Amino acid sequence: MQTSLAVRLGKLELKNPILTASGTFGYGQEFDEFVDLNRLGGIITKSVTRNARIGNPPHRIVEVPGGLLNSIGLANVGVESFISDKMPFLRTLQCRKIVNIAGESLEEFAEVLTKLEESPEGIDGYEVNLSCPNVEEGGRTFGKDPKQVFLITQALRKITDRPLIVKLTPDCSDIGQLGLAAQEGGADILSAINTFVGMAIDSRKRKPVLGTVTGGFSGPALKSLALAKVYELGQTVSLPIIGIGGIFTLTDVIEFLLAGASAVQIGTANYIEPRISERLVDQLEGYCQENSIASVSELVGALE
Amino acid sequence: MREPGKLLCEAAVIDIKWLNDSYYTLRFHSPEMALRSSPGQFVNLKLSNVKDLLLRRPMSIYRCGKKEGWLEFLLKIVGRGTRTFSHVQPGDEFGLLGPLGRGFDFDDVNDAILVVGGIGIAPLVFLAEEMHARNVNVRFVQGFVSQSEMCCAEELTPFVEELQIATDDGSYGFHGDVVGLLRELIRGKADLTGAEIFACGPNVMMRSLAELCVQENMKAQFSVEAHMACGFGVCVGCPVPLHNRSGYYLACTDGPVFRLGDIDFAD
Ligand SMILES: Cc1cc2nc3c(=O)[nH]c(=O)nc-3n(C[C@H](O)[C@H](O)[C@H](O)COP(=O)(O)OP(=O)(O)OC[C@H]3O[C@@H](n4cnc5c(N)ncnc54)[C@H](O)[C@@H]3O)c2cc1C
Ligand SMILES: Cc1cc2nc3c(=O)[nH]c(=O)nc-3n(C[C@H](O)[C@H](O)[C@H](O)COP(=O)(O)O)c2cc1C
Ligand code: FES
Repeated sequence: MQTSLAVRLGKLELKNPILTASGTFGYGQEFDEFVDLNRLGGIITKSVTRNARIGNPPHRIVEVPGGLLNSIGLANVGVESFISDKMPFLRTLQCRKIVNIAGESLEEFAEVLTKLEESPEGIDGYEVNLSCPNVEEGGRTFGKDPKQVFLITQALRKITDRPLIVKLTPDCSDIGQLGLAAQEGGADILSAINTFVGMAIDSRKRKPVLGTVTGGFSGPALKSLALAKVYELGQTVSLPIIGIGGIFTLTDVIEFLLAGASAVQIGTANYIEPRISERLVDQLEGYCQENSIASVSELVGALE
Repeated sequence: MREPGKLLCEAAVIDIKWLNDSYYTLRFHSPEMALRSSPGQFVNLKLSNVKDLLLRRPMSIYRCGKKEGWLEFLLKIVGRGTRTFSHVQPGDEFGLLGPLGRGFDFDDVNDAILVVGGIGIAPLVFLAEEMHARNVNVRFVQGFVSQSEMCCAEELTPFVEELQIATDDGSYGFHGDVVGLLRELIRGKADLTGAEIFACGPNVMMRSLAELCVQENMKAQFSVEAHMACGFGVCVGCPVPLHNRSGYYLACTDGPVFRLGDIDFAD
């Protein structure tokens, strides 16, 4: 039977709900030899900041039970090199290209977005990484404070008409409040979740393993926590949601759709199985056919 | 340097051998991977159907039979992954991603001294073999904690002109560390100080070796380790400090082999 994998998230139309998560898929080109990128719903780039950033001291990665901790420190090429060196390849792709932006101040977010808006076509939307320290507020994470979430979303909304996705942090007491703040600020879509703060200790050396002491937890054990956040957001806000966290299998994808996500992002799994994103598209198509599902969007929020 | 394409494939273990209490070799049937591999490159290994190990484990290519189509790794048990891998049987399947990284460059080298500490020997056996095939004079200096850790002498003998061994506890060969042994060997020998050093070992060893190379004005290439998530330049998780500490290389794509002077050995 004919089945449609297309989903619509407000202004953003995707040919299927499988996206790749920021920071786990480089700038797309790195996966060109493994994946037919045009089969994907879309690619979300590594976070782009105003200037190039060298990132945090080693160690930046450590495997822990159920996942891994990372402290990359937003190492990236900076917005200008992104436009001149990374956009030309992205522009050749037919899937959706979403640029993830980050900053340490409201001005930085706005400046990065303005530069991207001035660049030629090829960008289908933006995702805002709010899990960054706000230097003007003593390094407090933007994304934890509904007021900051509102202010940044509002400021960025004024700069672009393209789909604006606000990516929420789970390190908060009430993710619904953060979602509402982004909605009021003018976001089109919410994505959830970013990593949880975690820590690993080398007991023999009596030292933290990561160079920055703490880092972001991602991977399989994140899934059940992320499902709860997506579900909670779905109960609170009216915006479409993109689910992220520990997705490795077709079943994981379907669970997120049922919990209320209209699309999903594949993160850590890309490191281990570089072909996984495309494989999940194939598997989702097979699943819909076998189960006589005419449109995958029927699954969204279809929890009984 | 040439960067051949990467392969992402499954391969069966055809042989597992123990070299001592904690070192073992895994041999795979993987003709295409063997053909593409060069010394100093690595492969990311994952045991198929094992779920509690998440990331692939990076392992240097220890030996490869390009004609026969096999590839071999030398592993040391240091944690969960390397222990789990040691329980496999011939026929068990692994996922292989590789070959990754830039290996050693010995195009213009006539005389080489290979210096290793402990498990750092893994990438340099393949290097010795390839150098020998290209008529490079190879001297090999190995360091181990004690005699019970010693390995690979038999594999190396056909390829090297000289093989010297140091043990920290003096149970075999030179009593002391491998850099101390090297210092003795090259003292006052102009033909040796003209050789290029190729090394792999723990950071402390590499740092003192780098100092020696600077003093003696010798060229050197080092294979370094870093914690890795992806192995192909995507996670940005494997920084190696630049010599002036103004930034980082990535161990997986810029390395794992670096030239003396390009990097700083972090503490
Ligand atoms: C390019 C490269 C080539 C390598 N080649 C070999 C080889 O030929 N033979 C060999 O035995 N080992 C090699 N290693 C090291 C090997 O990858 C690690 O020992 C292994 O990943 C540890 O896995 P584990 O699950 O046993 O240990 P874990 O339980 O994960 O950790 C045990 C210890 O190993 C350290 N460690 C964890 N991951 C790494 C890593 N990726 N690199 C270095 N240390 C790590 C941890 O700090 C910890 O102290 C190489 C590493 C790199 C980066
Ligand atoms: C090494 C690493 C780097 C990441 N970098 C970014 C980033 O630059 N920007 C961002 O918004 N999220 C980043 N993330 C978070 C992921 O996009 C994703 O939200 C998170 O890993 C949870 O999904 P997962 O469990 O599928 O990995 C990163 C995650 C990892 C593991
Ligand atoms: S291991 Fe991922 S970038 Fe080097």
